[in-house]
Amino acid sequence: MNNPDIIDIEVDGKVIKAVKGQTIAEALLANGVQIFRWTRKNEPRGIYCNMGICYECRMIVNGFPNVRTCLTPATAGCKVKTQKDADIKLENGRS
Amino acid sequence: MEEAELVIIGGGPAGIAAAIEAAGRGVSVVIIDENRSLGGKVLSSGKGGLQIDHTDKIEERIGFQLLNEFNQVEDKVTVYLRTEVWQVDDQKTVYLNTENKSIRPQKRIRSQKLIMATGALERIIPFPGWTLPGVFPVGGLNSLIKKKVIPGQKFLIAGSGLLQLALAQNLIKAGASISAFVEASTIRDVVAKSVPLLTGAGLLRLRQGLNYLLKIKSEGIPLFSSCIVSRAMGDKKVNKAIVTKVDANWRPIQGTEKEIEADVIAVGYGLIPSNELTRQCGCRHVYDDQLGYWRVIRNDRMETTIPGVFVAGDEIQIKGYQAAIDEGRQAGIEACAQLGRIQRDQAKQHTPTLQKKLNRAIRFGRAIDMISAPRPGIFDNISNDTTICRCEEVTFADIKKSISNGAADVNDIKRRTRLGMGHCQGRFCGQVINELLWNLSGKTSEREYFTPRIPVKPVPFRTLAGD
Repeated sequence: MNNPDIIDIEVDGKVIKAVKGQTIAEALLANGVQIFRWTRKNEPRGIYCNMGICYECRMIVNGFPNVRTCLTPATAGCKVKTQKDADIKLENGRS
Repeated sequence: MEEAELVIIGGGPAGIAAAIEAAGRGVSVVIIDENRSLGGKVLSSGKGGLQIDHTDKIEERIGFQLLNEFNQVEDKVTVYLRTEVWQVDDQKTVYLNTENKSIRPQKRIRSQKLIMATGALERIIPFPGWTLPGVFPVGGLNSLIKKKVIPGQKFLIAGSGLLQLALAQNLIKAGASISAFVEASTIRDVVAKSVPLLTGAGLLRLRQGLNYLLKIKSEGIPLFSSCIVSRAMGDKKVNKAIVTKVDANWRPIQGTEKEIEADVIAVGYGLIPSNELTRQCGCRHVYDDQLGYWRVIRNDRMETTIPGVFVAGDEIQIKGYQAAIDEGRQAGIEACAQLGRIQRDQAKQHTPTLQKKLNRAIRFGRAIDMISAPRPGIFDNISNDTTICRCEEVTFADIKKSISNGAADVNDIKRRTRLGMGHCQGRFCGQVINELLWNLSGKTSEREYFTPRIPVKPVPFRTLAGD
């Protein structure tokens, strides 16, 4: 039951299981989540290049927008939110 | 400002090899890498430290050997992980932006010598529907599968070249279902282009490729040659692909469309050098017509047209990790010679054997590249509603409109449409806009590329402002 390699992360308020060492993107995909973000034209986007180049997998992580989830490790208790680009303000603040 | 005798940008096989040579001769070395671990795409599986993927025995042996060598000099090397370079100026000062909160590297490092070993990225050709979640480039999906993350139920693999075969193997091994394997060339064409590989290491790779192909056949996976994925369909994510026959020039043939179910579509056309930093800092490049990409100019000593700035690995031309290691060593040795750590004739002693190995690898890499290099007809598949710039959501129609409104060149289109001005800084659309313009102009214009602007990666204002 208490597998130390399994951690909980929160995605849009729901708790999902991640494996230690996984990136946030990997944890989401392993749990069947494919839509990470909605663009300004309101199109759905998911992870694409998986190497930090395309920036398509940006999400809101612990309140910070535009975090590349393909590079960011999933940590116990981290809070991930689907990003709506239209709601992101220009300054690098919390949303 | 922090100073270093040698800064190496990119900690993949080439960068590590360069560090081994230089640090082993007492040079103070800094390695900067964006990832969470050294090793790059080939030698790292991303868990921290060097990780070797055990599916390929040659890879494993070479990887461990390199790791052992690196361990012996590790204490003389400063490694900044999760750190990006967004500018290199004419004083060889490297400007950093880091996500790594534990090490807080200086925002700038002045280097006496600089080695750029930034590797490769995937060649992208847009098609209608390619922005839908569930569409991946082949390499991106492959790294997920290698980490046992299987992001769907029905996989469709398309494009051209050898990476697709490796992905198919990994999917089969993971027990995933593949609904089709689609190759743009004819099988005869692939065979003809493989002739230069019929020696030494090439033969090994060819045999591996053939085994992979036989495995796909024996699994009963439908194989479509002379076909491309012409459109990805789905509401909020992919649920099917349209597969269309193409002519010898890869031009889609109307009326041959077929619908195939798939919730993941992986498309690959090989790799291209990731050379935005050498372009940004002013090294000269040439357009290689056969390979279809810009190539940095370097001499036999791996030095670019800027004295003291060296390059190594796939960032020059795609040829794989073994050659990248040799080039990294060569660049490291040459940096030592310029820093006065070894005599010029000592440096020369290393050169002939490395050079011979390298020339073979370059020929070999070129042959593999030519299998994947796209033919011009495929750009006819790009429709008006196809997104070209994913970041700023610029369509082909937007680009054509800007041209009819008087846009004169790539940079002008960029100003008018915001193409290439989003988060990825034109890394993907910059590859394509060239071809599109070249096609629109009736293949008469000069090839152009975006003038790389700083920052080459998005950085917070506080980083731009400096210390």
